[in-house]
Amino acid sequence: MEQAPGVLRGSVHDGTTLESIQFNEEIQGIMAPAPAPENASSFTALLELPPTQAVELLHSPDSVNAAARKPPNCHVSANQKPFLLNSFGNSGNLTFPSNAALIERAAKFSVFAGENSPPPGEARLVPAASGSNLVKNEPQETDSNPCSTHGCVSDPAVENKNQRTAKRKEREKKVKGSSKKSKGAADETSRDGEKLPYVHVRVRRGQATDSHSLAERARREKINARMKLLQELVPGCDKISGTAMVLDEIINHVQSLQRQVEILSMKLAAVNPRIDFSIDSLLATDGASLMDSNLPGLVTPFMWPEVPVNGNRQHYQQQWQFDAFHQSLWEREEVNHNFMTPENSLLSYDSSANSASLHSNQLKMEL
Amino acid sequence: MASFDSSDSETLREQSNHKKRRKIGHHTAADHNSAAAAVPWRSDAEQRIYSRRLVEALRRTPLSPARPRAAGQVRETADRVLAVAARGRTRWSRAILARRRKLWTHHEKAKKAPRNGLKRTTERTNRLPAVQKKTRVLSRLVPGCQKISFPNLLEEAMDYISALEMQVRAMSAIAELLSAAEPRRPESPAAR
Repeated sequence: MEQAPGVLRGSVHDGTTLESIQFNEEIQGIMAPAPAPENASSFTALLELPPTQAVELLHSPDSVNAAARKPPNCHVSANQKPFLLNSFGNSGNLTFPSNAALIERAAKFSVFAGENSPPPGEARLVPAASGSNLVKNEPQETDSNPCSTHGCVSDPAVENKNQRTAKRKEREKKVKGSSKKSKGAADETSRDGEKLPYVHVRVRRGQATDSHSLAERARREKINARMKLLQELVPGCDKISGTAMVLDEIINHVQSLQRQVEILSMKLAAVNPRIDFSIDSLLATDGASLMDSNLPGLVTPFMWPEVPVNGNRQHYQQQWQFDAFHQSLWEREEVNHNFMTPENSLLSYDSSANSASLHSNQLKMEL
Repeated sequence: MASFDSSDSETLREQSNHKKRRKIGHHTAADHNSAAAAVPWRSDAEQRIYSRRLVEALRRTPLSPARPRAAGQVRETADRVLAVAARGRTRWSRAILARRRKLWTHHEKAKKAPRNGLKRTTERTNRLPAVQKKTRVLSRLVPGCQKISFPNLLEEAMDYISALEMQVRAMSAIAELLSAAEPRRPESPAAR
């Protein structure tokens, strides 16, 4: 049984009408069992046992298939059964009553498909394209078949065909899945992307497609993206490759930054008593640049009760009035009254002062 | 800006008042979504705002006369102002702000609570002991990042590094201004 289809395929591959006439008898012998119990067994046996051969079939006549496949979507389905009959149709010699009816149906399909090339011509084309074409096209065309043949014909025979081909399609998919791992042609992967409705990942060569590995790949890509950003951030990390080394550099960088902050804070602590006196210069140099910052920051000069010097306060008032032109979130009087007294009570010279400063920061942010 | 700040300050206070963990859950979800809306630590405006607020905060804090403690206070103030500038979107900033609220004993207790395994990283690549050790070190460096996943840790580290760089820039500028503003004096112990 396997050999016969193989022979047939070979013969159809050659595809001349003369040869088709020659193989009539053999075909007759096959036609009897073929149409009626053209069950999945024969074709799936064909598919399962020699998967590699099936793969070869899939791959070898690619160009021919591409050419022949595109126009006759429906034709191929029609030709599932009478794929050999069309050869008869060409010759026109043999007349099987069932075959004639099937040929008519083939014609119908062609009409519905609405393709330009004439049906007999296409019928000629398809067997020329080889049975392997059919083996391959069946599963693919079953995608379009249910849609296109739905409206066309509600022939029980054809429907059976479709069901059978649906089964074949699944097996074909498995074969293709395994073939992807082994061969991984680009068109295979693209087709796989079309078939699965959810996963739109272009599977690369030799990579698995189950959900676990996909999720893990997504996670890995996320991590790699972040590592890249970090490498850009930390100086001298671009050259280094490898997560451990990069992490080393990152740790060193963070530690050095923290040490710098410590040193600077020591410096500032030493210099701090002079903040009050230097505030004029600070305001003069930084004030011009800092004025366009948030207004909440600018109103706080009034919140320093420990500034006893009135001259300073007047200075702040000038600054503050000038600043208020830019942003006016608060009433000046309100600021004067509300913030002087609460701040006075809040500020106390113990450890809670820091929390008070934080609180005032929050107040600033509020307003 | 005002409304945004008010809601943000409220959430900050809520965090410090109530249990931190519940709110952190909310915010981590928001973090993942709004990771792109990070604070622009590199911009000049941010640095100026930070310097301003830092100076004000420093003015307000009563500094102890002993030098090391004063330095520690300055450091903490600087960190807090930095965390405030982060606008509560990052984990480390919230952890820094929560440092003040919790008493130190509580904080240490929470640290020493027996949570042995760092995290069950399902990433196969992270099972390398070298990477895991370094991950642990990094998570200890970045405040409040003890038990988060590796990609989130990287994200926090990114933001933290940018913030630290800005902090260093601002503080060095302030220190320079202040030291330049001082009247010329002979080398005093303060200048050490």
